[in-house]
Amino acid sequence: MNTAKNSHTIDVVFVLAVACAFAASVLTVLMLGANVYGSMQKTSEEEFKSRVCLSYIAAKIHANDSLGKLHVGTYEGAPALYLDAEFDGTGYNTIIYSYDGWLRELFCEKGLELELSSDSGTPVLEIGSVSFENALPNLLSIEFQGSNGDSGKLFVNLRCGGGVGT
Amino acid sequence: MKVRSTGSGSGMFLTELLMAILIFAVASAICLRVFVAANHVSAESSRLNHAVASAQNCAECFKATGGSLPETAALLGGAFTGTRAIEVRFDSGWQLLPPGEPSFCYVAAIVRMPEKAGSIDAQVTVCDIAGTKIFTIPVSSFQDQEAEL
Amino acid sequence: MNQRSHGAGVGTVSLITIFAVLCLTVFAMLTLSASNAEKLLADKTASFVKGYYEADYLAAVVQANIVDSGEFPESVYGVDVSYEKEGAATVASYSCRVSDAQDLRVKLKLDAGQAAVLEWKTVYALGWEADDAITVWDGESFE
Repeated sequence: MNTAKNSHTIDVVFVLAVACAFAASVLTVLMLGANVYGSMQKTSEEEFKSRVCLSYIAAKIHANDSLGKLHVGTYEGAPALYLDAEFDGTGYNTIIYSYDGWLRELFCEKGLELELSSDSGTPVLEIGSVSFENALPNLLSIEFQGSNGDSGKLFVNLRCGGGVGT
Repeated sequence: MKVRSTGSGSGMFLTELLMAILIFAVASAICLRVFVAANHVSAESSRLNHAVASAQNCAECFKATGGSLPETAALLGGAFTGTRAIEVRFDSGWQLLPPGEPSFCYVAAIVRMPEKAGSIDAQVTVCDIAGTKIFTIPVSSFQDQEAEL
Repeated sequence: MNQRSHGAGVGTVSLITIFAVLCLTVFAMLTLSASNAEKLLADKTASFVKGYYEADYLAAVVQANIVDSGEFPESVYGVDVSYEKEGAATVASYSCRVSDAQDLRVKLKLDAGQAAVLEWKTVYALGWEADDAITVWDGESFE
C-alpha cells in the first residue's frame, strides 16, 4: 500500500517538476526576446540621432552654399553655424546651434538674434551638443556629442569658400 | 470493490504538458530564426550608414585640399598606400585606427584617377576586410593650383 | 469508487503556451519590421548621397571644362550652361540632377581665365504651387 502511495507521489512530483522547468524556459525565452528587441531599438535610436543630426546640418549647408553666406560663429556662447539669406531686400539669418540638450534652428532678421534668448530656436533633435569648426578655410568640421556619450564627426567642403567665425 | 486511482489525471496533464513543450519548441525555433535574420539586417544597415559617413568625410576632405593626398591623409588620420591612394582604417565599431594598423575591419580608400585637364578626380571606396565593396562615390576637385601627389 | 480528477490543472498549460507563443511571435515580428524599416532608410540615404556626389562630380568636371576651354560652351557633358554678362565678367549657370526632387545649381563668375564659385547649392527641383484657398492675414492693419 505504501509503495503504491509513494509511486503516486513520485508521479505528481515528476509532472510538477517538468511543468516548472517548462514555465522557467518559457519565461527565459520571452525575456531573451524582449531584451533582443529592446537592445536593437536602443542601438538603432542612438545611431539615428547621430546620423540625422549630421545629415541635417550637411543638407542645410549644401542648400545654402553661396559666396559669403555661410560662416561659423557663436550664439549666446554656444558654437553656431550662420546661414545668411535675403528676401525682399531684407537680410535674414538661420542659426543652427545646440542648447539645453537640443539641436535648434533659429530663423530671424539679421541683428534680431541679439534680442532673443537661447531657447528661441525651434528644437529639431534631442542631442547632447554640436560644435562647428573651420578645419581649413573652406572645410567645415561638425562634431556631434550624444547625451549618452556617443560621438560623430562630419566634414563639409564649402565650394564657395568659408567664412571666418565672428 | 476499491478501484485504485490510476493517476489518469496526472497522466493527462503530462501528455498536455509534453504537447505544449513540443509546440513551444517549434515556435521558439522559428522565432529564433526571425530574430537572427532581423539582427543581421540591422547590422547590415548600420554598416552601410557608417560606410556612407566615412565616404562622405573622405570626399569632402579631398575636395577641400584641392586633391592633395598628403593633406587629405593628415585630416582623416589615414596612410599612403602607393603613390596615388590613401587608406583610412576602422575597427569593428567604426572607430578610427592608427595608420597602417594590420588588424582592421573596414577601410576607406581614396584612389586618384589618371590626370585630366582642369580637375583632379578620385574614387572613394569603403570596403570590409574581405574586400567586399560597401559604398563607393566619385569625387572631383577643381585644379586651381598644383596639388601634391 | 475512488477516482481523483485533476480537471482543474488541465488547460492551464495550454493557455500559458498560447500566451508565450503569441508574445514571442509579436516580439519577432516587431524586431523584423523595425530592422527592415532601418534597412530601407539606410538604402535611401545611401542612394541620395551617391546621387549628390555624382552630381557634384559632374558639376566640377563641367566647371573644369568651361575654365580650361577659355570659351563659353553651351553644353558640356550633356549639361546645358547659360551665360550672363556682369560688368567685365561673365556668370555661367548650370544645374546637375541630384535626385527626382533636387538639383545642384552652380553659378560661376568667369573673369580673365579664373572662375570664382558664386553658388554651389542644392535646390528643390519640382514645382510648387501656393495654396491660397484660405484667406491669410498679410500683416496689414484692419480698416
